[in-house]
Amino acid sequence: MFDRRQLLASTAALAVAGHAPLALAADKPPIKVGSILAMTGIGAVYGILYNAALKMAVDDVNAAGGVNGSKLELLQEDDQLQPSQSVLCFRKLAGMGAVVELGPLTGTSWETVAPIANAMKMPALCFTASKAGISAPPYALRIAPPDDTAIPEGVAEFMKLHPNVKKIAIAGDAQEASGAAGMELFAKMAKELGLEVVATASYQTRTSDFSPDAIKIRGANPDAIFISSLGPTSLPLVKELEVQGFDKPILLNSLVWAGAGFIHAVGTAGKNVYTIGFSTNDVDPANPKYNDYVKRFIERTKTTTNLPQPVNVCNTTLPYDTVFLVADIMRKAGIDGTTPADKARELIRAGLDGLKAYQGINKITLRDTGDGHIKCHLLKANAQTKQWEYALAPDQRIKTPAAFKARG
Amino acid sequence: MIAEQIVNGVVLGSMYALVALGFTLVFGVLDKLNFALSELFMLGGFVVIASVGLGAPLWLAGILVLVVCGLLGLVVEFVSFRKFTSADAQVTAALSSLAVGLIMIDLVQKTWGGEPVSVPVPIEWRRANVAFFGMQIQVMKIVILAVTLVLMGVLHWLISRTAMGRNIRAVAESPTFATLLGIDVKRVNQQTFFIASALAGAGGLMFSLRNGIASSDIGFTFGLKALAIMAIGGMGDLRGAVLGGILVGVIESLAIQFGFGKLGEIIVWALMILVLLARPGGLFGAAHTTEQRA
Repeated sequence: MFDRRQLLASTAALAVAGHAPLALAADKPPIKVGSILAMTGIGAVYGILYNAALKMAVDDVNAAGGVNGSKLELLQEDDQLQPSQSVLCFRKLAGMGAVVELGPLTGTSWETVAPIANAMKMPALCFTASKAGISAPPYALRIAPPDDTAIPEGVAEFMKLHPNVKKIAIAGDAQEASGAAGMELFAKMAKELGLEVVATASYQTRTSDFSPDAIKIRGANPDAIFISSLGPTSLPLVKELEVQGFDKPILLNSLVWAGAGFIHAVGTAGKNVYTIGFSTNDVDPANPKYNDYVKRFIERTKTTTNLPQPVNVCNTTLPYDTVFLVADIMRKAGIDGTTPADKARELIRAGLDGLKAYQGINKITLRDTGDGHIKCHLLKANAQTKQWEYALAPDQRIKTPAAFKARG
Repeated sequence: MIAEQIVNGVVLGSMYALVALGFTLVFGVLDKLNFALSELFMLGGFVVIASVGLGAPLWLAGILVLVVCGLLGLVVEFVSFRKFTSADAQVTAALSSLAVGLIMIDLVQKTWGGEPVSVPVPIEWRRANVAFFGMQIQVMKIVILAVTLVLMGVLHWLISRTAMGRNIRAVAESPTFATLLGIDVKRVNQQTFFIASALAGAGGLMFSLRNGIASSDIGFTFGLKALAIMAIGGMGDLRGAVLGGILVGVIESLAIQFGFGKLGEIIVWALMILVLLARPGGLFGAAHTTEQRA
């Protein structure tokens, strides 16, 4: 006969035996994934947005059983959009045992961190920076399409919509890498299209007053303005142009499409404002995965952030895709939380080496430069709904991508 | 365009001058730097947004900016300066005021987020302009210039023609002798902080009305320039702050017109170095400090 104590012990033993695999999986240490975002300061509005997408992806991966029995653990570091801080954060994450780092956000930070990723042999995946030519394979890849494909694709649609534009002014943040690179690309595009550049206005990330720039641009009487700077920097310039009575088309590169603040704060100054991007908050009939993401992301950010509502989904699908891409690579390579960090990093690097394309929410083609490509389109600001919309109807959009060399 | 840039530079410079006046006033009286003034400038725009959001008309919001920023100036005086009276506590007090400013930024970002926020000014107000000798000048700029001049005039009158101003000048000259003369130094310090902070708030108010946005990171940029302007004009000299502000505003505007915009704030700092090399006391500082404070 069993006494009560023996019965309890047997029951407990049976319960443990029955759930042994589950118990083992839960006992496995987590896989540490690092992220560098600007969570405070001028870039916080970007960081908060992308952090929400990263967390949603990590939660989704973990809810589906994690990676080879280990949960993903997101280690988040705040670089305040400062490149020097990005480097410190990267080193800190490596020291904490992160097997891969996601971010940082800007071109200036990315071109600082990418070489260090190679030197430290730690994979880094950027999902935002727009300056071309600064990724550094094999360890530092960028999933986002840089401006050398995005700008030609956006400008082509802009010129299709505004064929009478002959004279342009170019303005931008000459201090920030993506801003300066965007200005150069706009100038290159103008030359290729035979557009006359009648004025160039360079400013800095922390420029506080744009009235002199607006006076200069207005005085040159361009048919349109091409602007390359982050949202918080572009916004006062666009507002100042409105005040000074400039009501011609303004094309901004993708730096303002990303983030939540610009589209919510631009108001009536957004009447003639365009940007370049590859998604809006609208339903995409051809992509149910995207529609599901948009619905869930908007819902989730209502309660987890203090961002203006409804949030601008913009390119937040990219950090989400990046987490799933990394999880896929780790799953295939047999990485779990017990894999030594150095070995896991090498396995992830090997997985990235062989990557030519990835189909997540977005279809990303990898280029030989270590950057991604997604076909971009012209987007127009809607001041009423505070949302970006495609400027051209689906059948009017240019389908041919800009020239680039895919990974061989 | 050049004439228009000069007019624009004067307006811009007048806003710089308001913050620089605040710095100068506190420095002149206490011999200490109040870094929180930069963030009180930033706060000016957000007080407008909050006030209008609560249903206040713009004119009332403007008055509230002066009152709220002035009162916050008293808080800064109490927290960061009241206890640090010794001569060697300059750095401690300045750092403490910097910390208070950082807290203000953090609170603003927690409330309104990190990106610029629209200030509810009718666009018609901001777009209204007058033609003047072929220039297109926004009415808002004229209003800002007028208000700034009035504020500067009132400040000059307060300092030079009233009992309060006399007390401020006495404390600036020597707090010990001022005490012996029966002047309540603590009260004078509070009055100085209130005025300096209200001026910074007024600068922020006008900046946000003109640009249509309030931004949590604007104080740092503006504050640094105001410090440079204080050095250019002469530490502790009110006239120097006004002249230095306008000089910097005009030079910045012209630099952009002539294609030197990418140099950004280097222009301001280079100007400061040049002025200080030529006149180590600033434009007015060395020659007039004693006279100004007498």
